[in-house]
Amino acid sequence: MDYEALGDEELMLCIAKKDDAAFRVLVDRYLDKAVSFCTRMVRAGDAAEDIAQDTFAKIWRSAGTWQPTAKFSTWFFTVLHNASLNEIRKRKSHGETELEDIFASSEALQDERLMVKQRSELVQKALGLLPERQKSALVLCYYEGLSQREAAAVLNVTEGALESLLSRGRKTLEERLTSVIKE
Amino acid sequence: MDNTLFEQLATAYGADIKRWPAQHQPEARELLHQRPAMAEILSRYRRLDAMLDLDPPAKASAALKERILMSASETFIVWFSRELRRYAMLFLMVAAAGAWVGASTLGDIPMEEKTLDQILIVNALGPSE
Repeated sequence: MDYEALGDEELMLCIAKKDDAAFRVLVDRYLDKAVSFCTRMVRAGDAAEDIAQDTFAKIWRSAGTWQPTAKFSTWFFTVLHNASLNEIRKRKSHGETELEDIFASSEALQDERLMVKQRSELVQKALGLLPERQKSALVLCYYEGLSQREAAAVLNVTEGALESLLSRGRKTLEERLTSVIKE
Repeated sequence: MDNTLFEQLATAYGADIKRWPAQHQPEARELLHQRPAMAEILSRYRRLDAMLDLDPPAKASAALKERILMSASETFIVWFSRELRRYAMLFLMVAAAGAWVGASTLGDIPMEEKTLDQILIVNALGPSE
């Protein structure tokens, strides 16, 4: 069987029958997306990998009970999103320091000759400082390329509310980043 | 589409019209074509897009993929042996029931109507009375 030609939902039906070749194709298709999404949400590589691993383990275990009521990708990102939020809250409750608001005071960052790596770190930190829902909306829509309908379903909001989250998130980022990253 | 909606969409989704909700894309392109001033609005948002693009996507390590596939195959072995035990048990129960029904039925058939196989089976199972 040509598993590569199968859609996600068809692969899930094969995985429900413990078809490990189908599982391998799904892992190839979604693993990078999972790690990239969780890394942007949690900002800790080890935790992001753990969430991705747990999510794939869940897929393997529970594919038999999975109901194709929505697109697989919507369900997949919902699971990743919820797990990421749990991880963020767990880290906060364990007293891990939140990102320092470096954009408020640091003069060093006003340097126009910031290197690419430093700029990248600034963007990551600015994203990390956004309120959870604004960050989630941006990561899902901008970085992961989900449609408005899908992203709204993952966040359990209307498409109008999603648009508002995106606008507020982007405005905050623009204010923070343009003050420190100069062209 | 008016300028306000155009700018509202650019604020939310960025400068690339391909990222905008599908139903607004044709109108937005039309407006952009008719009013070149709209391009200036987009260039402002393109700057933020460029900054966001400075955050590259993280890649999964080969070790992670290995761990996921390995854990699935371990789970598969556990699942397979459980299923195998279940079906083996079912098979044994059906076989035992079949043997019991067969033995009780064959015992009632007069000796002259029994085939050689039936006689052998009855003998193998022992006397029914």
